[in-house]
Amino acid sequence: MFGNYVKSAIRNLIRQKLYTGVNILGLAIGLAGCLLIIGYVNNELSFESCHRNKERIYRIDGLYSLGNTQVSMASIMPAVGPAVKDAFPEIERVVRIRRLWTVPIKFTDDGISEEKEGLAAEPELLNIFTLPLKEGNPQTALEAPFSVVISEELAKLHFGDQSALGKTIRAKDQFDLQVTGVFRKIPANTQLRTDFVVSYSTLDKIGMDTQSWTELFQDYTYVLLREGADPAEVEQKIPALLKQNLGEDKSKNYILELQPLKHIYLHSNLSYELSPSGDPVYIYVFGCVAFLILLIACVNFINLSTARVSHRLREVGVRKVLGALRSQLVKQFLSESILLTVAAMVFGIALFEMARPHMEAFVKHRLEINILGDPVLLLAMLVMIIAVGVLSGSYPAFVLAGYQPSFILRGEILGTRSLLRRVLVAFQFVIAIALLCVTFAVYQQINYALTSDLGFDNRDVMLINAEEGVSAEKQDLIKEEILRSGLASSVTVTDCAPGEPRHNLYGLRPQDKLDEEATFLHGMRVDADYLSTFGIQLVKGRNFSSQSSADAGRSILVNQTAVEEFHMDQPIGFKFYQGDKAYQVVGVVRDFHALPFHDQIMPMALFAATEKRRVIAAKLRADFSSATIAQTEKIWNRIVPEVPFEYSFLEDVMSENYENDRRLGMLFSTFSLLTVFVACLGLFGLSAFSAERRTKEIGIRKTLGASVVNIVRLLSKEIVILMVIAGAVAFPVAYLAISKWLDTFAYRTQITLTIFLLSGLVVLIIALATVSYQSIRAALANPVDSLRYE
Amino acid sequence: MIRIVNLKKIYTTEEVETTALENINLEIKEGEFVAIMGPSGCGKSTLLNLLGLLDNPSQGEYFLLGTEVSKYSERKRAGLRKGSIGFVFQSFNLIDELTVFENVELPLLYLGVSASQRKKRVEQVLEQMQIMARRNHFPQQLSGGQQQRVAVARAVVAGPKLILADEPTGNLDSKHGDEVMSLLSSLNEAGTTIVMVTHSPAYAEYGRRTINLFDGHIVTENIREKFHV
Repeated sequence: MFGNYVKSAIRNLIRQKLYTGVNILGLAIGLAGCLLIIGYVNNELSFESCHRNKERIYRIDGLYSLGNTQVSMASIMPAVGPAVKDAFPEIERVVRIRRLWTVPIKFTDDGISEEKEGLAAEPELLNIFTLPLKEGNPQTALEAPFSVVISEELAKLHFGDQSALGKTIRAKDQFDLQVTGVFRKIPANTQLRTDFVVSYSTLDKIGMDTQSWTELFQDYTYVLLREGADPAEVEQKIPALLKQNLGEDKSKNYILELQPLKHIYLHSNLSYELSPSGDPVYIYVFGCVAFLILLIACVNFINLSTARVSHRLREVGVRKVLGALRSQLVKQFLSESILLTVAAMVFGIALFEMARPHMEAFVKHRLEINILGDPVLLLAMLVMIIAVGVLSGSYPAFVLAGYQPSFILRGEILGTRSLLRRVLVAFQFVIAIALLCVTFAVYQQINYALTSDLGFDNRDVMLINAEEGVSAEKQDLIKEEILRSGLASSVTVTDCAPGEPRHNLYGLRPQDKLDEEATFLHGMRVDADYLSTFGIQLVKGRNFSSQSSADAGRSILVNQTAVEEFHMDQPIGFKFYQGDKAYQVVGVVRDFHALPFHDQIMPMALFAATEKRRVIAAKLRADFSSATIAQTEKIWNRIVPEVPFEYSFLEDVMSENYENDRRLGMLFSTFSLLTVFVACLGLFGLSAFSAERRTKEIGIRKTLGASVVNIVRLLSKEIVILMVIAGAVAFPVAYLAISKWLDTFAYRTQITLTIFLLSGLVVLIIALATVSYQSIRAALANPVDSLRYE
Repeated sequence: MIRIVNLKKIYTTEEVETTALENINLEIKEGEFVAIMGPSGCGKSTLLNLLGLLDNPSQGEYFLLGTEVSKYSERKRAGLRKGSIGFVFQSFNLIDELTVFENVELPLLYLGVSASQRKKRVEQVLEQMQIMARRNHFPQQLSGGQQQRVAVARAVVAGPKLILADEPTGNLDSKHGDEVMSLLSSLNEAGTTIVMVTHSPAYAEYGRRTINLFDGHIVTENIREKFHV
C-alpha cells in the first residue's frame, strides 16, 4: 500500500511542476535557514567545550568601584594569580594570560615580517586548557623567558615541513624569541585562539609589571579548581586576601568573582574581554527569523495544496468510491508531503552549504559544523522533515479526505476555503512587512549616527598610530613637519580622537567634595590644537596656550555635561584633584560625541599634556590625495624610520563603531528579502491557480465587454486589500520591535512614518508584480478559449 | 437484494432547499439488470449515489442485503462499499497518475489482498476485458472506449455482487457504447446485479426492468417482458 502512495505521490509531483517547484524551493529555503541557525546555535553553545577540564575552570573577574562608578573587567591585577594559588587549597592550578595585542614579528629564517595577535601566558596554560602541542614539550615550552609557542598555521607558513623548534622570531624588532612549541590546530570555538603565546616570564625581563596589586586590566587569570571544590567558598575568602595585601581602605574598591569558563563566551560582557563575545540576542533573533521563514514556507505548502484541491478531487473521490478509508487517504497525503519535504531537505542542505561561507563571514569565525556527521543535526533534520511534512500536509490531507464522495464527484466544492487561504497569505505578508520595517529602521539609525551633528568634525582627519617607539619630542617634531609642509591645516597629538571607541577614565574629586570618593570622568591628554583639529567649539574661557608646557599638568578643559554634573557655577578656575594633584578648569567646550551613539555623553576632562601620547591626528586640506599620504609617510620615515607608518581615517574608524548594528541590519535585510521571496513564491503559485479557477468568469466578463485593464484590476484588487490588512497588523508589531532595539542607543533617530509606508509599498509592488504575470496572461487570453475550457 | 422504503433526499445550500428525491419505494432482486431513465435533473444520479452508499438519504430506509444502512457512518459505508459494490461512471474517473494495471488493482489494495493474488486477479480481469496489452499505459494514452473498459474492469475486479453504472456509455460513440453494454450484459448473465442510469432507450432495453424518474419521483416501472409480448 505504501508503495502505491509513493508512486502516486511522485507522479503527482512530476505532473504539477509549478506547484512542486514552488513548494520545494520555498521549503528548501526555510529548511536551509533552519539548518544554518541550528548549526550556528550549536556552534555558539559549544564554545570552550574542547577543554577537558572545562567544568572546573573559572576566570577571576574584577569589579572596581570608585565613587559611584563601577567598572567590570575581564582582566585583573597581576599579583592576584600567584596569591590565590598560595592562599587557597581549593585551587589546583592558576594561569595568568596577558594580551599582547597585535605585535609585529619577523621570522629570522625567511626574513618575512607579519603582524600577529599574541598572548603571554604562564606554563600552566598547557595543563589547565586542552591545547595539545604538535611539537615541543608541554611541561617546559612556556617556562624560560623569551620562549614562544606558535600556531600550526604560522609554523607551516614559515618553516614548511621542517621542525619549527629552536627557530628564532624577532618581536617588535627588539626581542628574539625562541620557538619551543607548535600548537596542534586550535579549534575556532575557543576564545584562546591565537597566533602565538610568549612565556610569561618574558614580561619580567622586558620590564613589564607582573607584581602589581593595583594595576587593573592586566592579566586574564584562570584557575583550575580541585575536584569537588566550591567556587563560592573561594570567592568568600578573596576579600580577606585583598585586605591583607591592599589594606583595609583600598581593598574595599575591589571585588573579585569567579566566572565559570563555559559561561564566558555567551554571558560575560565585561570590559576588555579576551576576544569578542557571542551575543545570546543574536541566537534569539536568528532563531525567531528562521522559524518564521520555515512557517511561511509551510503556509505556502498548505495554501497551494488547498488551492489545488480541484486537481486532486477526482482522485480522492474515486479512491473513496473504491472503499478507501479517511485514514488511508490522510496517510497518502501525509506521505506525499513528507516525500516533498525530504526532497526539499536535500535541496536545503545544498543551499546551506552555499550559504555557509556567508554565515561564517557574518559571525566572523569558522563554524564547526559537520552536517551529516553530527547526531544533533541529523536528529534535528529528521524532526524537521516529520514536523514540516505533517504540519504542511495535514490540512490538505484532512480537508480532502473529509469530503463526501458524492459531493466530490459532482465537483461541487471547487474554490472553497479561500478565506483561510487569504488569512494565511495575509499572515505571510505581515511577517515580510514587519521584517522590512525593522531593516529600514536599523539603516536609518546607522545613518542618523553617522550623519547627525557630533559636536566635532570628522572629515578628512588622518590618524597616525604613534603609540610604540615614538618619543614625545619626535611626536611634536612630526606634528610640526606636517604643519610646515602645508599638508594639513591643523595637527594634534592626543591619547584618543573623538569617535575612537576608547574609554579612558580618570578618577577625580571636585574641589567642593574633597572628602568623598573620586568620580570617573571621561578624559584624554591633548595639546592646544585638539580643538581646532576636530572643530570642537570653545564656549567659555580659553584654550590651552600653544606653549603647551605652560598648561601641562595643571590645566584642563571640561565639557558642558561636566559643568552641569558638578554644578560648577563658575567653571573657570574650578579645581579637580587627582590624589593631591590639582587641575584647574581654564575653559569649557561644547558637548561632543566622543563615544558612539550607544553611549551617553559623559562628563569629560581634556588634560594639557607634553608627555608621550598615542596618536597624531592631522586635519588634511580638503583637496588631499594619495600624494598627501605619501608625503606624510615621507616625513614620518625621515623622523622615525624604524617604526612602521600606520594610518587610518577617522570617518572609517567611526563607521566601524556601528559594525555590529550594520551586521544586524544586514541580517534583517537578508532575511526580510528571503521572506518576501518565499511569500511571493507562494503568491505566484496561488495566482496561477486563482487565474485558472476564474478562467470561466474572465471569459464571461470579456464577452460582456470587459477590457484587459478591467480584468487585471479585478484580479489584483484582492492582493491590494490583503496587503492593506497585512500592513495594519505588521506596523504595530514592527513599531514595538524597533523601539526595543533603539533603546540600546543613548541617541536615537525618530521612528518615522516613512519607514512603514516604504516597507508596505515595497512589498505591495513586489506582490503586485508577482500576481500581474498571471493576471495579464489570463486577461489577454481569447475569451472563447476560456469558455471552451469549461 | 435492495429494498428502499419512502426514501427522501434533500440538498440544502445556504438559501435554497432542493428536494432531489421523494417517496421512493423500490425493490431490486439479486441478478436483476435495472435501467433508470429520466430527464436531466430528475434525480437519477442521486438515486444511484444513495444505492452505492456514496451518500446518506435524508429520510427513509435502505436495506442492502437485508441490513438497514441508511444511517451508516462514512467509515462503515466505505467498509461495505469495497468488495460488494462496483462503480462505472460516465467520465470513467480513472486516476491519471496510475497505470491501467494500477487503476484496476486499487480496489484490491483497499481490500488488503496480497500482492501475488492481486496480480493474478487483475491480469485475469484485464484479459477478460481485452485490455491486457495496455496494462502499462496511463489513462490519457487510451481511447474513451478503452478507458471505460478499464473502468469496468476496475468495477468487477473485487467480484462485487452489485454494479452501479452512471451513464456508462454517455461519453462514448455507438460502437464503443455497444461494446461496454455487451460487457455489462455478460456480467449480468454471470449473476451480477446491475443498476444503470442511462439516457438511451436502446441501451435501457438491455435491462429487464426500466424505472422512469421525473422530478424526484418514480413515475413508471416497465418490465421488459411486457414490452416484447
